[in-house]
Amino acid sequence: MSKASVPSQLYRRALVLATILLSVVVVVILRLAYWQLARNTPVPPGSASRQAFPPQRGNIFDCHGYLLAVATTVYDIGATPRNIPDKPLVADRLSGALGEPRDKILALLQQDGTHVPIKRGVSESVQKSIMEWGANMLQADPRPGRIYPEGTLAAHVLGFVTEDGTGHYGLEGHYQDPLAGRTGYRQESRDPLGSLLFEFLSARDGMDAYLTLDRNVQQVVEVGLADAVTMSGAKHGVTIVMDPATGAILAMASYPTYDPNTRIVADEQLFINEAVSDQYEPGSVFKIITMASALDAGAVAASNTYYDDGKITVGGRVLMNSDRLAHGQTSMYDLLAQSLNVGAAHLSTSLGALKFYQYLRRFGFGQLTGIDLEGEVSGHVRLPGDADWHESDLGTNSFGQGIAVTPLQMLCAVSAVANGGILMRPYMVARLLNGDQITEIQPQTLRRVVSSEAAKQTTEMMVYTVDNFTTTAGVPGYRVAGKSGTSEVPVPGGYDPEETIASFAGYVPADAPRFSILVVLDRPQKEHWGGRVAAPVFQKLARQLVALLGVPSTDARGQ
Amino acid sequence: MSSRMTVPSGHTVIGHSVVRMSLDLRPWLYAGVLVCLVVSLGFVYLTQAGHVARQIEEMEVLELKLQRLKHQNSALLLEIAEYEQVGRIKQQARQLGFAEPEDVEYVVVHLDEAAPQPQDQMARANPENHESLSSVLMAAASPASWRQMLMGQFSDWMKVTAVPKDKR
Repeated sequence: MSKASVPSQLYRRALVLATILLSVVVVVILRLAYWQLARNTPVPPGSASRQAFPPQRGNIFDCHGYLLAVATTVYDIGATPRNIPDKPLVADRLSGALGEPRDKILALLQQDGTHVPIKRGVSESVQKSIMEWGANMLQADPRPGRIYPEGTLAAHVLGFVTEDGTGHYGLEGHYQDPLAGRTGYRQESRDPLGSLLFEFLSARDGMDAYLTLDRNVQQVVEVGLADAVTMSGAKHGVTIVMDPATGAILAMASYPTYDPNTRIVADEQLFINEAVSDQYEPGSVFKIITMASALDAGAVAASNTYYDDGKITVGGRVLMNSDRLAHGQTSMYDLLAQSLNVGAAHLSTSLGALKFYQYLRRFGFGQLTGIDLEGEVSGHVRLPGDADWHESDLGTNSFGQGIAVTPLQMLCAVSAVANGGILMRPYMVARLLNGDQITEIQPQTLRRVVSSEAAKQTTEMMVYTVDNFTTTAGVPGYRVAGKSGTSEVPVPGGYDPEETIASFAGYVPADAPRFSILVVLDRPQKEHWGGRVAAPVFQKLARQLVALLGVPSTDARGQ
Repeated sequence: MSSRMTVPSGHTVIGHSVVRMSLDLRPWLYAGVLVCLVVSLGFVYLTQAGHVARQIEEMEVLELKLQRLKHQNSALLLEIAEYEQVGRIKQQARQLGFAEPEDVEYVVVHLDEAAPQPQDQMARANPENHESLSSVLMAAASPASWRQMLMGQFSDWMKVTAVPKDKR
């Protein structure tokens, strides 16, 4: 080795070492870059190394904290037929445990195949009892489930959850995202160098929802409505109970109903909540709105009278009272109490189309109420300027004909009168709980629709109506404000001459209402008039509710 | 290895020998450093991989535990809900002899100062017991008044016993 070559050799070696170190550094940098960039690449769902953690769906409680919908684990029971030596015996035992016909189960067990499904959605206790004796022949696959412990109670309000975890109808549909939560996952993978990597996102359980609905009130309402529909021979019925001061829904029922646990129905239309998704012509209950509007606008005074000659012509169409009689000089009180169509048309024409329809919009007709339930419809109000509006609509609309409203819209408008002229937004969920975080939903004032004086005068007229004419709605010891309605059923080309929709809306106590109720019976057969068929239902419910909610009588309140 | 010899330039060979020796050791030194580096990196890597594997295992255990607890919790909730069912409560209440109220009467209670107090009403209902009842109620208020009342009663009793026989 020459002396001159020594430094150059040293230099070469140093260069080699530097290259190796540089390579290590480059590898480290590349690896860091991979971690920063490649690991954020979305991982295809369902890959073998991805483990999903389904969130637990939030529970639904009534206003007192009673459970109405519970998230739980249910089991899908299956069998391996070739592992079953004595099929008739197993079919016997499964039939007893699952409540299914023995022959049906036996037919399933006699199929060829490694796995046959027997029954889906079996509860924990049933699954345990089956697995105690059939663990080597049967399978129980767990999956998130939903149970409605009260069965049919508030079914239309709650809606239901299908097996894929999606909520449909009612609250389950409207609050799908908050109730469902977020699925978590753990993704295991290896980088190009073979290092183990994992990514983890914890599941976020769904929020618990506490409703304004009172299950005791709901129970009373559902029993009352079912009796009324059955007794009257009506096709359907709807009842809503609301706190007029806040817009909180205390009960909402449709009949016939269904069990959201099984969802076995002949017609899927039964899933629809008629209280918010169906529209009807309200009939004379609507005169409350016409009267309150006319009083507020100063078109008439409560002390005024008008001459009722039994008919009035509006837009070229002759409108008559339902009794076809002339009532002569008539007070505003008697107009409402005797439900005179001519008088109502007199009020709307005195107001004029512009003002009348302005009031209707202010009361919320033709618009969504904004309730937190899925499938709400806005109803239909023909307005001046619309192609299908006719001048005679000004007359017919005044007594609730030729206008389509939802039961909830109608009750909200009546509740606005009960609430001194202030319209509240109806709501069903009072608070949402996400762990320790509570979201309180406050009552929301929409607007003042009429003055408190006009509302008070209208209330007095409604009390006069119940005290003197629709006495079947009265509650002993309480001042009740109410109004009945009987509307015709629209059919193509006119109205059905045989069928009616009977309804009654009112509130108790009249001077400081604790609740307002709307009862709607669709096509009752034994009686057709709202005052005869819907008012007694109102009376029955109101009597039970004043006791249930502890509403003191008028005497006890010193009124 | 080293040998001392004189060269014309005056340098000693010992220096050259040292340089040569150090030059010979350098590759080993570099190799050693490299090996240490690789070993260190390997150690760090394996430690990390082991740590990740342990974490995953721990997470799996915790996840299972969480799932089991959630499952138990929902089963308990369901059990509670079944016990709280309206129909069940009504049935139990009927079995216990309860009935739904058919009529509720409200009793007006005036609580203003002018109105007679419950204590006065009791006394009026039974005037003979007025004093004793009031005193008992008052006495119940505090131990001091109890003692005072007992002392008073004792002194009254003493006075009665002190009355001369002829005056009885």
